[in-house]
Amino acid sequence: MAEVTIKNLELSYDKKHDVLSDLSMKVKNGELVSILGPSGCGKTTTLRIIAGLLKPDHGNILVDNHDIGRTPVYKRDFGMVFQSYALFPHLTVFSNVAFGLKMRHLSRHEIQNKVKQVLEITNLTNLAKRFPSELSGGQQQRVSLARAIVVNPRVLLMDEPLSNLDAKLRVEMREDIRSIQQKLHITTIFVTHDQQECFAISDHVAVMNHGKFEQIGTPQDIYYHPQTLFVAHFVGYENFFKVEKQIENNEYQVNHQVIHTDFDHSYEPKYLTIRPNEIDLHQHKNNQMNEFNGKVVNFSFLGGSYRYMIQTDLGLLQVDQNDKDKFDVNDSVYVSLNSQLVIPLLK
Amino acid sequence: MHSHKVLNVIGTVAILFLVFPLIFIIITSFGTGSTIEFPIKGFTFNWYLHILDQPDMISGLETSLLVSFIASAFGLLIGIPAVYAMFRGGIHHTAWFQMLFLSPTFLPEVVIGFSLYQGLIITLHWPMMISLIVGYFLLGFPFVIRLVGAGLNMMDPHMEEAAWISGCSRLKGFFKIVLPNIKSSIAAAFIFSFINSFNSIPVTLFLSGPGFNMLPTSILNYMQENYDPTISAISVILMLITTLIMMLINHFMGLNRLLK
Ligand SMILES: Nc1ncnc2c1ncn2[C@@H]1O[C@H](COP(=O)(O)OP(=O)(O)OP(=O)(O)O)[C@@H](O)[C@H]1O
Ligand SMILES: [Mg+2]
Repeated sequence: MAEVTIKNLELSYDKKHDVLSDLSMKVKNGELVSILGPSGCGKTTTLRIIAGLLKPDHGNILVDNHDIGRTPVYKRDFGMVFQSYALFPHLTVFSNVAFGLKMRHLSRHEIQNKVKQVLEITNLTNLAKRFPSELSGGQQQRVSLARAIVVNPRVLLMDEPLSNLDAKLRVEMREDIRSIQQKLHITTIFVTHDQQECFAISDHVAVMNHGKFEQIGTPQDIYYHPQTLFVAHFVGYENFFKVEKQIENNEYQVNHQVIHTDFDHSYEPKYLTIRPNEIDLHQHKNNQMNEFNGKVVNFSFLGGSYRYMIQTDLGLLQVDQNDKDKFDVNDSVYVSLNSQLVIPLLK
Repeated sequence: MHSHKVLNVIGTVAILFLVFPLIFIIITSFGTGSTIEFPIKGFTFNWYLHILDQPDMISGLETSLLVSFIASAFGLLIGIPAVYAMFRGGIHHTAWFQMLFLSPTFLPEVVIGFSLYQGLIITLHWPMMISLIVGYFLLGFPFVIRLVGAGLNMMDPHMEEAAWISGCSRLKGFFKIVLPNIKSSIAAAFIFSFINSFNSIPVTLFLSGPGFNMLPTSILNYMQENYDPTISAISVILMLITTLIMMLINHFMGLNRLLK
């Protein structure tokens, strides 16, 4: 249980292209922080550096304000869950979990007790004598978690631990992980590319893109107040308007049109954005604020709703509607953007 | 279904070709005639007893077993760390090293035998025993590189990392995690390098000589003077020894896992 600080990490595998650039973050005692980002953005690389499996070109990892850059992997007192689980196939579930305790030279009695306790928490008591090859994916995942937490690690690292499980099990397991993490109060860094998964279990989320953190915040922050194009797109915003200039305090010029907004006008946004389901679509002019005329280009079924592409003076808009009967291709329509739902993006 | 039948036919033919010569040898070793003949006219164990009267063969068998064993053991001792360093040590030019280690496979054994003879025995005056160990080592080493390398390749590298993170040093991890997971590859490597060196006639011919008798040379010597079923009998003994080694290693190291 500890506080982890990552400071200005930089790494390049080939000394030409930066895989990580200037990565900084702080994980407080007992917190679960997720690193969220698309495939290849550098999540695993970051985690491996924290674990000590990889040396960064620059930057530091601090645990409780001590630089652990020179501490070898096996002395860091961490736990890690790998995407492939990486269980020891020649050892039983019990021995897999006991491994770290044996390395710490605990007495037989203590090992017995601790393993038993952790197997109970992870719901594996009945499987203690099995070998990893005799377990299902979900069970292997739990053994891997048990092996990582049994040593009472200062920091728990998890690299997409749920990605090999089916959708239903994934939801179940993530709840388990969260409750165990909170019960034991383990500082945890959790890597995933699944937005829902990370929102459901994290105290904070660090959204990563091309080896940089785009935004770090609570799940609500990230979801409701994305600050960059990338993050906004990642959490479901689709309509992006490049700001040409600020006309008045709350009015911005976009594509020679004016959009009224409600947010704090000291922001100086580069873009404005709004979710497809937050745009109002109607047949007749209502003389509302932010109302624009447009034409239906096409629509597609998303499951639960229909997505319309509307050509307007603002550009091509994506608008979600619950039913499709109302509008047809080439219909003339009006869209209105609720000024309270238009949010600013800084880059 | 159809491909199953084809496979069965091919399998049967292959087994016939492999097994018939063996059966032939086994049967002829019990023949009563004074030369190797088939079918046999009577049944006797005498040729097996006759082996005991051939001190050259007995001592040849002993030294052959000993030298092959030592050479194969050295092969593992040097080969396993070499492969590990190649695959996990972050060493550059791995392909180049691999080529170097596998190179004995590409050389005719006669060339290996002759060059060792010229280099070690003629030039350096090394004893034959040592030269033979070096020669057999070279014959077996490529098997170690290939089989142990394959075993390491099949192992999830994260497994070892998981051990380190659990508090296990690199060296300890090698013994506790890596070795147990490649032991069937090691067993296979040992068997292949042992049998390959034990059976090598060219290298043996070059590096043994008067006063230092190896099994292949003593069998050849015996055959030149008497072509009788003793040859068959010693062949059967060799088959039994090979089978026994395989069974022992399988029992202790689980070779069947490798073949699955
Ligand atoms: N050992 C390596 N050598 C060279 N390049 C590498 C190596 N490992 C990763 N990379 C590159 O570094 C970048 C980041 O890789 P990383 O594995 O950290 O991504 P990731 O975010 O974990 O992706 P995923 O979600 O697919 O696991 C990728 O472009 C990858 O190709
Ligand atoms: Mg990854």
